[in-house]
Amino acid sequence: MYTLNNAVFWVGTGFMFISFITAVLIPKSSRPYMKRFFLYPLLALLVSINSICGRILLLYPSNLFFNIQSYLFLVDLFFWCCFFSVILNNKKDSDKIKALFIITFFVAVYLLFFNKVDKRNLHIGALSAICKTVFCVFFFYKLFKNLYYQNILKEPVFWIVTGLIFSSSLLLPFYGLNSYIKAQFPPLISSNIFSVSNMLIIIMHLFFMKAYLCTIQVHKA
Amino acid sequence: MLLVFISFIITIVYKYQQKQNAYFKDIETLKATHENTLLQSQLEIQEQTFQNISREIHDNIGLKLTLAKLHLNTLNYADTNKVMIQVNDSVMMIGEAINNLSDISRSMSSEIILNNGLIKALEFETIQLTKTGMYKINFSATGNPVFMDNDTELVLFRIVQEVLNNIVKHAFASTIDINLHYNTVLLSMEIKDNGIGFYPNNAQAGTGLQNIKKRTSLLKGNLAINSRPDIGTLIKIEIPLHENNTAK
Repeated sequence: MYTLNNAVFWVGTGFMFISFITAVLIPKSSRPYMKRFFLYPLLALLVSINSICGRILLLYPSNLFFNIQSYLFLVDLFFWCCFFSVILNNKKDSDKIKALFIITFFVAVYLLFFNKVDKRNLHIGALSAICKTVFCVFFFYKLFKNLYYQNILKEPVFWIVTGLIFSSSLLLPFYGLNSYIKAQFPPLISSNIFSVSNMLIIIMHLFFMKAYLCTIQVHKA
Repeated sequence: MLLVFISFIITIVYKYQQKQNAYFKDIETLKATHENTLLQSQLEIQEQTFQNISREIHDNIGLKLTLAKLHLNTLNYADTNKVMIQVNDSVMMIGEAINNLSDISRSMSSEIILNNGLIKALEFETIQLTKTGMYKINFSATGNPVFMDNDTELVLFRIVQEVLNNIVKHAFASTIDINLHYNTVLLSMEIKDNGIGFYPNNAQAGTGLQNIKKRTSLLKGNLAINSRPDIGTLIKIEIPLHENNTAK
């Protein structure tokens, strides 16, 4: 059942694995922010494995799956907070990013522990997507203001942030309208609609791979 | 959705390149303006140097040579003793004129800066002024002297010359203190006199003061004038070393 969504899921997991391996193997000396970037594909891989185990293979109860997913979303947001703090390379801007993360983190903690809603992973995911979109918009604003790079097309960070803003901004409606879509459409259709969200993640990893290629070019140069 | 996003990327890249080109253009314009100002300032310095040479030749050397010529023209060969005195006086005056010419040449030429640096050039300048017998000059250089590029040192030297020129012309001072202090980031220069002073805010900036201000700003420095009537004047100039230092 729901073969398209599952197929996309497995393909996506494969992409994340390739992304992780590439991130580990690429030369990182040219760009300091790439040193720990391999942690993100690893995290995405964990999210994906959790989804496979909890949702497709049903190895553990859905409540545990939702909780693990929520915590992983928070770790993911923490990763991006650190990443943007490094690439902005300015204490004031880094503090703004950290402040936004702390606010989002407390809202997430409230949602997780004090406001016991169903499928809280979707709420945390939506919150995390909003926060990441704001990080990306802030980065682009600073990029245009300070003109950090000579040729942005050759900058790995440009492709990473572009991929991130692409996925986080477009995933937002899927998190927000999850219940609505499930209620309005038959399970097969809704499942196929949600497969688009997984495709978005695959496209994001394609952007990351472009960033890895840039890193290799920069290193060779 | 993908098409929208591809357009987003293209727009971002296009706008970024546009902004970057505008930024580089601005930098080029600023550079050109700075070079232009520097050139203009150098021309002004040159023009002023010519004026100083002309004045010195007219007022000092010309006068001595005229006197020597007068002595030689009025020689009375019948009175051998007087002839000898007149010839000796003429020789002395011609000698002084030659010395003056040599001093002017050294003072006006930028060679002293190129060969010996700012401190030596300033020492020479103060010696020249002391020779007039009208001023007691204390010159000191403290800290670790840093060599700046020749153009910068020349502009600094001309600033000090301009300040000294102003003191000679307007201050009626008897003592002048010149202190240069080098620290890691700044060259701090103080020129103090015990002259009649003035109210800096009320004073109409003459060409000399304007030149000092212009040249200081050219070196991205700060100029502070502290003066009161009957107390004297203290001129403090601070020049950032890292922006003017292309170490020799």
